[in-house]
Amino acid sequence: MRNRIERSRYVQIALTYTRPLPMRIWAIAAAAYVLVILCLREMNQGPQTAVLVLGGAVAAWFGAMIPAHAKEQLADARAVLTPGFRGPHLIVPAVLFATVITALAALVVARAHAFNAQAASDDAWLPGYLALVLTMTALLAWMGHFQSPAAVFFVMLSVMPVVFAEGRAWLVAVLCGQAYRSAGALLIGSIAALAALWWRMGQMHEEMPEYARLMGPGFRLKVRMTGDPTFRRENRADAGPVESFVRQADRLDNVANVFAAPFWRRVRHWRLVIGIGRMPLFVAALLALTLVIQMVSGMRDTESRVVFPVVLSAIAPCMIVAGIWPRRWYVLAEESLRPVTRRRFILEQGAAMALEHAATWFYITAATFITALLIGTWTGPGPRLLMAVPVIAGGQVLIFGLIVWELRYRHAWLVIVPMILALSAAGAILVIGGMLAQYRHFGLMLLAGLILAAIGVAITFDAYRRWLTTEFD
Amino acid sequence: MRPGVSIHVLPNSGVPIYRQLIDQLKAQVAGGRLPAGEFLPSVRQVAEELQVNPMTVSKAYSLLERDGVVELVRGQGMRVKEAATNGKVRREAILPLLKQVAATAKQLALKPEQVVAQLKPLLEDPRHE
Amino acid sequence: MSDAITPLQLQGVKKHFGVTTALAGVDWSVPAGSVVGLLGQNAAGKTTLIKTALGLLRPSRGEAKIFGGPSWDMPAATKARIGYVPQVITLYPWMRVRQLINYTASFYPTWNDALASKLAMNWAIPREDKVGNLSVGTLQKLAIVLALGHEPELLLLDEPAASLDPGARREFLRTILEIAVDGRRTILFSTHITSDLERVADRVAILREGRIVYDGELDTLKDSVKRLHVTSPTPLPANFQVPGAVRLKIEGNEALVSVRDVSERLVDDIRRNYAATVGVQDLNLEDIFLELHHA
Repeated sequence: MRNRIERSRYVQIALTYTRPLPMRIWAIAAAAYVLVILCLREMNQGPQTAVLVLGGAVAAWFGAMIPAHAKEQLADARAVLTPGFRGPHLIVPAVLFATVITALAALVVARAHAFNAQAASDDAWLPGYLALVLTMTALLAWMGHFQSPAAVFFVMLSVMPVVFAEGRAWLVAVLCGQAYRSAGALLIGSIAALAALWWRMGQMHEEMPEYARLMGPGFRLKVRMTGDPTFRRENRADAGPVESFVRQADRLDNVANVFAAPFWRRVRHWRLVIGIGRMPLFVAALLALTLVIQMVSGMRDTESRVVFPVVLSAIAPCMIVAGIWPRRWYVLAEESLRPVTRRRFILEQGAAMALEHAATWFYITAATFITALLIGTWTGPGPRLLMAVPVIAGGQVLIFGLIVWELRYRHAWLVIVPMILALSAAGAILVIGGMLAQYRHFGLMLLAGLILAAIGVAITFDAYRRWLTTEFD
Repeated sequence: MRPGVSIHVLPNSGVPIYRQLIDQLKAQVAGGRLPAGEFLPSVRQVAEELQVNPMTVSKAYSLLERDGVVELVRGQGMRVKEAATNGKVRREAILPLLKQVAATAKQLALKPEQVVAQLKPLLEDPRHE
Repeated sequence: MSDAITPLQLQGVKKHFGVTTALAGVDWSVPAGSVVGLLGQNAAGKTTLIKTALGLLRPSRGEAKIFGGPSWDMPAATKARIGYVPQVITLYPWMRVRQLINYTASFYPTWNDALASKLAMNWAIPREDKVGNLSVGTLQKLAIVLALGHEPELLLLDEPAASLDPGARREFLRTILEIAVDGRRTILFSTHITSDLERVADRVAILREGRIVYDGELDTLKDSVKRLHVTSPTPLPANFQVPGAVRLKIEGNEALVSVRDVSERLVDDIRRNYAATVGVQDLNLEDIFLELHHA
């Protein structure tokens, strides 16, 4: 009898993982992915890499959501006070996590094997693949757990090995089972990191800085039920000196009155709070530095000097803004009551966000492109970098449109969804741009950039129309 | 507040604040603590002193004016009227309390002479000045 | 000009969130210069009502107006005349208190620096502290200072005193009175703490299940809702009824009746019809609130 009650409790906890919408979307995406790789009849090297990377992404996505959901259940007074609460709520996600990720990795590797009988040496090796997937997952999970811009920054730093040629060679070696010691170390390291995360979730209490940072399915409900302590603790976590320095709080020591100021003056004013101050500059400098190290360490071939700046320019800016802006929701109601009409308010917010995005993009692009050009001659990467600019710039307009369109929904997974959206869109734009770049025709690239920008403007305009009827609850 | 006038209100009592003000001011006028010709403290003063809504105070004042206890002197405030201190007003001021006594006496089935007999020593007791 | 126009008016306002109904048809207006307490149990719809009145939420039906114009589409000049303290206060945690005050001031055509400084000093809000490090009570005080700095003509406060300690609460009520004293400002605050309201409010509105069930002067409410102790020499009949009763309890010879509109005539009628003695008991706001929610 007792046994049955116990079992039903575990089932109940497991069922909570089927409720959140992102989890369901993931299930559909995962099912589609599995279906596709099961149906594939043949595969050469390129698609195989794609299958492996996509499979890793699907697994890591899941791996990051599971602890987020568990945290939601555990960062709560009832988790401490209800006897026997924590155990099952930690065991269920652990089992789900281990089963799904291992099964998915095994399936992916098995399918990759099926098509690659001729050369066993560069074949994917399950423990190696699992080590990479788990490392990625552990990083994402910890990032989600702390859920602060600083954590994002840290994760960006820790994936830097990919930038180096040696680093990539090493990754391939890990994947194919040639560097089994490294694979073992990664495997042990990531499992230890995940165990540590589970241990920390089991200890969750109010004093911990990440306690209040929730993004699970009950987020909205929780805010309603608890009134404000949740926000108080979250606020405290953001009151550190780093945050103030990055945001340039000192600019607020003296601010001019903007009540009757012209439009663009007011837009600049909003950037005091919409923007992230010095953050884009720091990121740009850091990325430039990474490129310098990369090239000094020997990766001076034209290919790397084109690909890395382009990828960074396409992805980094939109990830930064997508990670920061959802938090505007907390203050929108109050800000919307400032003396300005609704129409003007939304236009001003949008314009300030667009400027912020543009400035972030400009800093990062300028820093990485110039670095790539300075080391070596213009004739190397120069023309190709120049050719990439229209598509990336147009792509940023498109991504901006997508972000502001999506931000209207104040849903549970406030922070993650815009970032996933931005990342996916940036990835798609890179693929399109890469395909078009083969023709080496600037006019074509310009046209593609203009089309992307036009779509972006259209989406932005639609977003503006929808924002006009959005409640700032 | 000016010496001579002392008002206390219990905001959480069932009796509305304006009524408490009226009752107390009437009693003080009737008892001579607020003699004729004296001005009541301003609405603002009372509201700030007692921490009650000024509208409530001005409502009490206008009702006192209506009852003929005070009169409005332009630019100076509410002045206690001559007639307010006469016997009739004083007798009226005690009436609500006596009504309560009567009601309780009825509930307790006390005869009128019994009540009067009990009241008399209380009225003569010097401690109840 | 401002006196002629009703500061806040709701006409047939309904608000649904999915299947739940938060406001079930509210017709209500707040007269200029009054201090109105909006009373209601938890989940009665107080916050929704205030947010709808401010145009933060859009009515599903009906219309919310501020100073005669639709709340949803207020001109800048109207917004400069209103102040709002939300129930859940989230300000920029990385700003210092004085920076946040500067920032807020920068949006308004008029800003009374002296008033803001005075209030901040009275409430001992540390000007150099980071907003994120303030306690809940201090944060609430800061939010009130920010809402008062531009001297709004209409001030809406959603459970403003909920996190304040008794001292600060008194100070807050005193401030409200100071602001209200010239009668130019209209103040609406929601609460479920009736004692706050009894001191400062001249009007009360009681919201129950998304409807305004009482709206009027606080004094009138106290004058009209009374509890009657009816004692009869003979057992009272089972069909003993009193017009306007909100709550009726009969036990043998005695009955306890809470009535909405007490009058001399009503009491006399009961005395005569049942040969009973009737004691009239005054009720304070909390009692009245409970009586009205009992039915």
